[in-house]
Amino acid sequence: MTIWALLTLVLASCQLAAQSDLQNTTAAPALTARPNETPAHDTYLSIEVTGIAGALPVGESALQVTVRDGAGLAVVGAAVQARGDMTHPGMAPIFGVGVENEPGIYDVPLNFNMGGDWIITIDVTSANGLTANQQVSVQVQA
Amino acid sequence: MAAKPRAPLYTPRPRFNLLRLPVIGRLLRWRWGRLALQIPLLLLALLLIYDGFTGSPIASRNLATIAPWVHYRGLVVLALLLVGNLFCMSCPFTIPRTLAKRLSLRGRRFPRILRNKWLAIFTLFALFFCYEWLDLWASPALTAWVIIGYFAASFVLEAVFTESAFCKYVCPLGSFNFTYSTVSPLQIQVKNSAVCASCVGKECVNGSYSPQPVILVDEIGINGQPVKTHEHNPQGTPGCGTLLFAPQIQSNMDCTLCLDCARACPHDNIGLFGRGFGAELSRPKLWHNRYDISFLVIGLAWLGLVNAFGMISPVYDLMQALAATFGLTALGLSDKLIEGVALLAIFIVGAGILPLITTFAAAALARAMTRTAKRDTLRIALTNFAPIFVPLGLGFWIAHYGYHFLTGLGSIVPVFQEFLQNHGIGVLGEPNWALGSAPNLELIGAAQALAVIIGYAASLWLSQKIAMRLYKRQMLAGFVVWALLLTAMMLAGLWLFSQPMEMRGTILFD
Repeated sequence: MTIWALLTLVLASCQLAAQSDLQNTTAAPALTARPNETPAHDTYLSIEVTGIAGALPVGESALQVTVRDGAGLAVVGAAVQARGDMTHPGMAPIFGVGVENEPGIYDVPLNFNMGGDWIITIDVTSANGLTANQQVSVQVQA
Repeated sequence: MAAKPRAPLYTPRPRFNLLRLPVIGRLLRWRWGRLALQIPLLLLALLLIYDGFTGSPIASRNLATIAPWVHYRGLVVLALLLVGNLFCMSCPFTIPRTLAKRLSLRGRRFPRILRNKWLAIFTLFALFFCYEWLDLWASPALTAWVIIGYFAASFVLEAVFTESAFCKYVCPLGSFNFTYSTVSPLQIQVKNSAVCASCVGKECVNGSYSPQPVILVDEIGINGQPVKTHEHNPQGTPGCGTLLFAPQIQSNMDCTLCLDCARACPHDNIGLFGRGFGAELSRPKLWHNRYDISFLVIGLAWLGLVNAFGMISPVYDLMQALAATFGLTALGLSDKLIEGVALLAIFIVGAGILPLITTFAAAALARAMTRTAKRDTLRIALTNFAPIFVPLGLGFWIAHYGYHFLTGLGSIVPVFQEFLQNHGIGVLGEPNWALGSAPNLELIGAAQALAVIIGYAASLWLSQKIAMRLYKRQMLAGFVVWALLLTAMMLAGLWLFSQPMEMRGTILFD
């Protein structure tokens, strides 16, 4: 019993170190505003990524990226690009370009060539030059 | 008519000595030769620490994770197989260690109870467990901390103890390298053991008085008084850090290839000689029937399987099943903690209990079948066959590390380009991510299978040789037992490496 308690304690302390690093990898959306200005409704973009619930299969998948402005209105005509990196170093990244199927909603095809954890970085540039990016974690199952 | 000179009856074939090569040999024997190899790796280590803390947190875009976990490991296993323990030779962690040695004023020796490989087995086990559980491969910052930890541990142990305790008894990387350098085609040997027998100073292990590899004699003046004396000073070359005595070296185990012995020898009697691959593994009493070294070798082969098992899909199903069986999910623990407990159970069974049970069982069975139970103890029956796990283990590691090395070979180029670009240096241009594209995976898969099969064949060859030496006419019975164990491990390895890799760091428990 004592051994199990000690073991749990050691593992918990090690876990703190791992968690602090995990927090770094799941970065919050980075918003870009003009220099020296407080972001207003019309000066920043928000990104919502859907289609990543549960584990995705190896092969072609499409993420849905919804882009809105500060007022919550759909942003049309934006350039949406996605880059997928495996959490394991040395694996080749994958890239996808968003296609706007509905106003403000972009389908981004990605070809996951290996099972495991992926980090998808979405970069959005609106027609008026505003930029935003977001990272999401995705599990892919072989 | 002059008599024709007679040829000598026997002339030993001159052995290949790397230290006699024109440029490389001179560089290696140079007083600062090791430092010249260490400084580039020290700079690289500092770069990795810097990028690990300040660069991208995504592992595949950070030098701190790509260089050690993809390139270093692949290059190390290839170097061990083709040349020798090159990493320990140029290890950057020993630079501050050398400073610590000068500051330490020669303290006490490492505790006697720890002067074996049990601590190294524990650090290896801990490193591989943390690697899997904390996803060290996915974390540049944690990898940077690991590098700092190596520097700190090396420095502290060297400052406190006299010998190179970190290298010999603690360092997991060194223990890995020591184990697989036993197959390497180079080994420190003496040219003429008679010279060593009459050597007074034994400088190869004690250190030399001066930087020159010659015997220095005090100059005596005409009045009989010395006009020049030679004293031990900081210019002298240290002796072997791991306390190996050159004429008695039979194994690369514990040899860091620092070449201090060759530099210190006043008789120029030490060389880095060529030999057959794994030549030492069939020698009798290679590791003096020591359990600690035997289980280091055996455990590493099993760790090769367990480490690869951690990278394929079935491990997640097994962890789920373990969590459910032991009711871990009902305890309200976090997923990461449950994963740690489940993974620890897998490591304890796979790299602890299974190697112990199977090797003791094989040794006991071989003793019974060869009717040598009265003659040989269980220790003799087991430790004599420990070397057979070296080739197969190396096959597993080459298959695993070789996979990452070959699939990620070009990936370091765009990552370095991006690193330079982020620091305002554009000489290498835009990152070319196409260089990171995986080459032919079928071909790599075939190479993995080949590595395992060649390792298996070499292990079989070795075990029949040892069985012949140990059991003579009963060799077949003894050989079959160990061959069955090797075959089971080989098949497990082939199955593991035929599975699709899953580079997963997170697992969600039901």
